[in-house]
Amino acid sequence: MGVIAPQEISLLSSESAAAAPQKGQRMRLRYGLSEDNLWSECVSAHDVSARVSQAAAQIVRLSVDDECADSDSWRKFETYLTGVLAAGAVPMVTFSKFGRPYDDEGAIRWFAGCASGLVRRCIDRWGPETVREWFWCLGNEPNTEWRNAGLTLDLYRSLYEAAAESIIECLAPYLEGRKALVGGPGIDGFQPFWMDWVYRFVNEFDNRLISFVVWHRYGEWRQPGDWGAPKEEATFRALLMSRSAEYETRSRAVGRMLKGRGMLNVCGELNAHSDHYASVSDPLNRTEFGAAYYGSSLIHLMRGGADVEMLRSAAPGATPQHLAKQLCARFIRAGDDLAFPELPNALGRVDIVLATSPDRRLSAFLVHRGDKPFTLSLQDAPMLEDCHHVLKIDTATNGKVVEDCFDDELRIEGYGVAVLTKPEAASQ
Amino acid sequence: MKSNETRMRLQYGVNEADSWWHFAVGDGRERIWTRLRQLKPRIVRIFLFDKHAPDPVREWKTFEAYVQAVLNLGAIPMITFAKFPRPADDPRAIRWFAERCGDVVWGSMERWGAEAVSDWYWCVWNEPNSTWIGGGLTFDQYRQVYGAVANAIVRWLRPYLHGRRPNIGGPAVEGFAPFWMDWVWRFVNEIDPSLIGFVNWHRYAEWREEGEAGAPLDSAALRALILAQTPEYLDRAEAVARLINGSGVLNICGEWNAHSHYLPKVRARFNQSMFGAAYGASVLLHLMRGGVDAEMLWTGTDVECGYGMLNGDGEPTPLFHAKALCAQTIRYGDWISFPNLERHPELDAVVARGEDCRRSVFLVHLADRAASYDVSELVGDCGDLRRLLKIDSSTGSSVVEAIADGLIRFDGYGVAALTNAPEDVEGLKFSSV
Repeated sequence: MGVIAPQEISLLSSESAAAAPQKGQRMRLRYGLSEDNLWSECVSAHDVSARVSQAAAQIVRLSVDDECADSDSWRKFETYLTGVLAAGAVPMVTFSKFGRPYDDEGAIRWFAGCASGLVRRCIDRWGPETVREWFWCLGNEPNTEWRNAGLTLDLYRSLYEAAAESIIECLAPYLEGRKALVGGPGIDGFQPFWMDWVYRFVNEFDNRLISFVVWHRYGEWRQPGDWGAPKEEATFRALLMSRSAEYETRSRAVGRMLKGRGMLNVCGELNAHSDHYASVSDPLNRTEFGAAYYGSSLIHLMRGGADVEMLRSAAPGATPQHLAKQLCARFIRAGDDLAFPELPNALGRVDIVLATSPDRRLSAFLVHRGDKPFTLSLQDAPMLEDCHHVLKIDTATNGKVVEDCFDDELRIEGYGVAVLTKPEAASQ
Repeated sequence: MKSNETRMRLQYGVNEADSWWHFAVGDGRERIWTRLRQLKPRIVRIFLFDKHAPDPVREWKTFEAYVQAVLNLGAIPMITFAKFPRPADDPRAIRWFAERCGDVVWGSMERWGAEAVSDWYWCVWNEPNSTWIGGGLTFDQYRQVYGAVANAIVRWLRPYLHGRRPNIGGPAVEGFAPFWMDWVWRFVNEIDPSLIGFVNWHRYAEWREEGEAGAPLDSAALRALILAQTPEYLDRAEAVARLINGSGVLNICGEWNAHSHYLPKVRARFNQSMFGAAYGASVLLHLMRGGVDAEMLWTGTDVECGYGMLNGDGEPTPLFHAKALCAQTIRYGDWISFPNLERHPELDAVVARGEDCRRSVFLVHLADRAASYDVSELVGDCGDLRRLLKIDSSTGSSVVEAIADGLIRFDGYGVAALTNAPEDVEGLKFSSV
C-alpha cells in the first residue's frame, strides 16, 4: 500500500451539490477493518493474516489498553500485528480508554507515557521504517458516556495533546519531514452534536498534532418496534437501507471542516447495526442485506470523498458482507477514475460506481437496495456495453459469489451486489 | 441559461406564530405588513390550535384577520393544525380533530372563495416528534391523524383541485431529535401519496448557550461553531430531496433560525443580532443550492420571543435587512449560480440574472473580523452592478447604499448586495453614504 496522503476534492462549494460529484473523481477510499477488542481472540499470526485478507483490509484498527506495552497483552498484540503486516496492511492502534481522573496532570502524563512506551516498543520490534507508517488513534468514542463517562472535549484536549506530543517525539527522528499519523477522536455518530467534536477538534487543537479525523457511523442501534423504530421488519430494513446515503453526507460535512488542513477523513467504524448481541445485529450485518447496506455505504463514502473506511465486523468470514467487500476492493481500486451515473429506470433502487483503471479497464460495482427482484438491462446502462462478465451475490446465490456472462440483462434477487467488468479483468 | 446556472426555485416565507396578534390586529400591523412585503413572501405559515391562536369557531373574526393579514402581503397562508389535547391514539379524538380541521377549510372557502383556498397550504401537526412542542407522538399515531385530517381537507377541496395534488403536508419534523429523518422517510413511504403535497422539516443550529450541555464556553467559539454548520441546510435539503425522489412533492424548510434556546434573552443574542443576519443569509444560500422549494424563517413578528425580525411596531432586526436584500436581489425564477469562493471560506455568494436584464450578487461575510475583497476576483466582471447595499456592524443596524467601487469592505459579520436594479424598484431604497 502506498503512502496515504490527504487530498482535496473541490466539487462542493462552487456548484450545487445536487449535481456533484458525478464524474472525474479519483478513487481515494482505502479499505479497512475495525476490530476494536476482538483482535485479542486471535491465536496465531496466520489466522490474523487470513482474517485481514478476507476483509480485503489495507488498514486494521485495534483498540489497546494503556498498559499494552508492559503487560501480558503485548504477546497477543505482537502476534496480531505480525499477522496484519503479513497481510500487507497497516495497523491503526487505538488508545480507547483514558486514565482517571481526566483532569489530573499525573494521570495525563501516565497516559502519554503509556502511549509513547508502546510506540517505542513497536519501533524496537518492527523497526522505525515500518512503524512510522502506522496510524495512532487517541480515543474511541470519547463523546459517549458508555465508554468515557464524564469526559468533555476540553478534558479530551489535554489528554490528546499530551499523548500526541509524546508519540510524535518517538517517531520524529524517522519521519523525514512527514507528519506522524496521529489522530482522533473516533466520534460516536449517534450522539447529538457529534459534529461539534469534529469542528472543535480541528479548530481548537494544535493542528500539528493531527493527521486524521475518525468518525463512526452505524445505521441503527434499535430493534424493530423499540424506541420509535418501525415494528414491521420489512419497513425497518427499508428505512435502515435508506440511511446508507448518510455516509456521503457525513463524509462531505467532515471534509468541509478539514479542507486545507492536510488531514485524512476516516470513517473508523461502520456497519448496518451496532447491537453487541449477534442475534440482533448478525441478520442485518452478515447477510445479503448487510452486503447491500455496506456496498451502498462504500459507494456513498467514495462520493463523499472519505479517505478511509473501516468495516466494523464481529469476525471476518465468508459472509455475504465480506464477499461484497472483496468484490468492491478487487475491482474499485485506489487511483481509479470514478463516475456515479444515474440510471433513470433505477433511481432510488440502485447505487452504482464506475471505475476506470489507469490501464483503461472499466468495472462497475452495483448495489441493489431493495428486497424485490431487480433487472438491469444494457438499455438502462449503455456505458456497460463492454462489460460482458458479471460477478454477483444476492439472496439466490446461497452466500456465494456467482459468475456469469452479461449479455443484456442482469437480474438481482432481492438485496445484493454485483460487479460488471471485462472477462480478462475478472480473471486477473 | 449558462451551464452553471439553475432556476431559483426557493419561495421566500415566514412564520407568524406566537406574536400573531400583533401581526394580525395590533396597532403596528400596517407597518409590519409594509416591512414584510419587502421580503417578497410567497407563503406565510400560521397556526391553529396552539400558540394561543384564535379559535376558528368562537373567534372567527380574529382568525379571519389573521388570515387576511397574510393575504394582504400578497402571500398564501400555510395553515398549521398544530395539535390536539386529547389522546392521540383515540379514534374518536382523531375524528373530532379532523372534523375541526375540515370545518376550517370549509369556512375559509365560504369566506375567501373555493378556487383561492384550493391553492392554500395545510400543514398537519407541528413537530410531532418533539415531546416539548408536539406532544411526542409515535409515527404510527401521527399517520392515523394525518390520514384523517388530510381526507377531511380533501373532502372539501377535491372539486376545485382539477387533478392537482392538494397542498397538504407534514410532518413539520423537529430537527434536533435523533432519527428525525425516519419521520420524513416514513411520511413519504407509508402515507397515501395522493394526500401529500409537501414535506416540512425544521432546522435550528443550536439550542445550548455557552458552556451548556457540552457547548463551547467561549462565545466567539460557539458562534463560529454555529456558522460552520450552515451547510447542513444543504445536506438536509438534499437528503429530503432523495427521499422525495422526483415525485413532485415540495421540499419545504418550514422553520429555521440560528438558536432555539428555551430562554428568549439567550436566543435573542444569536437570532436578533448581526450574527443572526449573517447566519440567516448563509442559510438562504444553502437552501437555494439544495433546491428547496420554500423556506419559512421562525419568525416574522416577534414581541419578546427572541426569534423574530420585526417587533410589534414593525422595527426590524439585522436579519430582516439581510433577508430583504436577498429577497429583492435574488428572486424566484431568476437564473442563479454560485461562484467558487474556495479561497475565501469566510464568504459565500450567489449571482442572479433576471429575464429583465437585472443582475445581482448577494454576499455574506461569516467572520467576526474586518476584511476587504476585490469583487471582480470573487465573482468576475461586475460591469454595470453599480449599486452596493450593505449591512454590517459599521452601518448601525441598517442597510447603507453606496456606489460600487470594486471593493467590498466588511466590518465583521455582514451581508451585501451588488445590483444593477434601478433605484425605483420597490423596496430597494436605503439610506445612502
